Amino acid sequence: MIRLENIQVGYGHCVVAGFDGDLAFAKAKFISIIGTNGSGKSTLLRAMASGQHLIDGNVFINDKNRNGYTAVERSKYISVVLTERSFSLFLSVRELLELSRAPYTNYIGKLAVQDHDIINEALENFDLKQLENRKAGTLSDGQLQRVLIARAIVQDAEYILMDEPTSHLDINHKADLLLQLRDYCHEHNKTIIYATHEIQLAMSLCDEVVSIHKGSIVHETKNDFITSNKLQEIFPSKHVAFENGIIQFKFKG
Amino acid sequence: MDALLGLENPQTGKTVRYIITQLRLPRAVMAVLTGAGLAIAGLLMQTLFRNPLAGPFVLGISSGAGLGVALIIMGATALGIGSISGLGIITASVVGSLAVLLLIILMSLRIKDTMGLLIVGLMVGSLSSAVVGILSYFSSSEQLKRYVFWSMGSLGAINWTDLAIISSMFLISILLLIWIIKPLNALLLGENYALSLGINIKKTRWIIILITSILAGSITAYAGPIAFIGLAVPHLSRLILPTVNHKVLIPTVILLGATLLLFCDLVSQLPFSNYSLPINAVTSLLGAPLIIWLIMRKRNLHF
Repeated sequence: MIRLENIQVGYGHCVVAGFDGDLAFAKAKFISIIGTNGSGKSTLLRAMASGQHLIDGNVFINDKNRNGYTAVERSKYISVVLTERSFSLFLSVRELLELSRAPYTNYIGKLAVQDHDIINEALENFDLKQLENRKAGTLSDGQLQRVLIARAIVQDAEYILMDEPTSHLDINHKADLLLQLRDYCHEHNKTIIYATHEIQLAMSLCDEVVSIHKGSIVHETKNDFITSNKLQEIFPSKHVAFENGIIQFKFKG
Repeated sequence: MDALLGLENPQTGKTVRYIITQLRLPRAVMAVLTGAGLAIAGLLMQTLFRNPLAGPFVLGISSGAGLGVALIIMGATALGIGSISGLGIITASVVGSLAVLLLIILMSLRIKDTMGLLIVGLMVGSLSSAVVGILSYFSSSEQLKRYVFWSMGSLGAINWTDLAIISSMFLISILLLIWIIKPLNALLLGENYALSLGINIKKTRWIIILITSILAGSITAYAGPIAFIGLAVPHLSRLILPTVNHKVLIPTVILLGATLLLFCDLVSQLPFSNYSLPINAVTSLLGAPLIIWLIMRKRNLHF
């Protein structure tokens, strides 16, 4: 379990969002983080993943402060999918996944049979088998996004934190991928916490919602979130209405 | 040993024997170590800064060494020191390159933008040349000549004792390199992903800097600032292999760097003539068109 205690996240001394009390994320949950641009979704994810941007409060992993773990131990609890793409474009898809087994390999990074099995399984599951020898620089945005998600899964951490994993994807691929990720959580007893702008997909697929609005973080089940009708409040527009988590556009003429 | 060098014939004159064992052979070994060392340094800088333009030269490390050497050669009289020993030049070069590297890395902690860092490197280079310029203006022609010759690069002025020092530096670097081979590969994912994999970025960064300054510093001290090898060889290796895995890439840049500089040195001697060229002119003459050719062929240069 990941537990956030009285956390405040932001940049420097400027708090972007916070919550007084405990925010606890259980195992085997598919959780979305919802909020407007700049509300602190990515900041919250980073605070959990790396302790960056954590201004105040504590992050506990299985009831032990995250600072009490070594970096390698932590990497077995939390893996990430980032929006930045600062990796070498010369890496092949397979190499990208192989490097992500780093927490389990020896000092020169030698892969065991088991590591190869896990990598092959991920390549298979994310439809990357035929791309495995392609260089990252030659992939489309959508393909690359699948590679990055497969990368996080290969790391085999209990929690996977994703920053907008479905950006750059076509709507059909978005739906397929999110469903696959939700099933992965439930079947493998993992938790995925992901920041998203895809409200409607989140409302149909996720188990729990973390909403960030005007600096306060609220964590509740999806049903509670929908009933409370916070969506209208978070995304105010006279042209957009939300009904049971379904978006309706209201344009005249 | 003699048989290997074709000296088993007792008729071979003393002069020939001397030329081969004391001049040609050390020079060849030096070319191998220099080519390999600079190629490693360039590769490490490209990986650390995630920038295909990085190299020991571009970030001003060699300029730092140059400044150190200029200070010790031309500033020595001002300090009242008489003659400068070879060891003095080496120390100055190592201190100079280490200072610049530390400066660059301190900046890199503040500047997240790699292009920004490159500009800082270029600025440090300009600063160094400005100081060198001022020093040259006030120095004697004898000192100036010594510095200019150093800056044109030379693989010749080397004896077996010097080679022993460089070899041990090289050996230390290789050992350090093996120690960080895994983090080095993880860095290819970018720092944030590497961090999330439990890699100690800070430690890795410092070891990379240490290796680069040991290699670039000691080589530049003895051979002068040799251009292009550090930048071009990693790119060539990636295109030949093609992989970015350091476990394969490092042996390749070592072989390719050594071969290339040996070749350049051969060219610089202008065989069948009595003249020879400064090694730096040759590496640039061969290296610059090579890089341009790669770009013209639209082969993307990655790190």
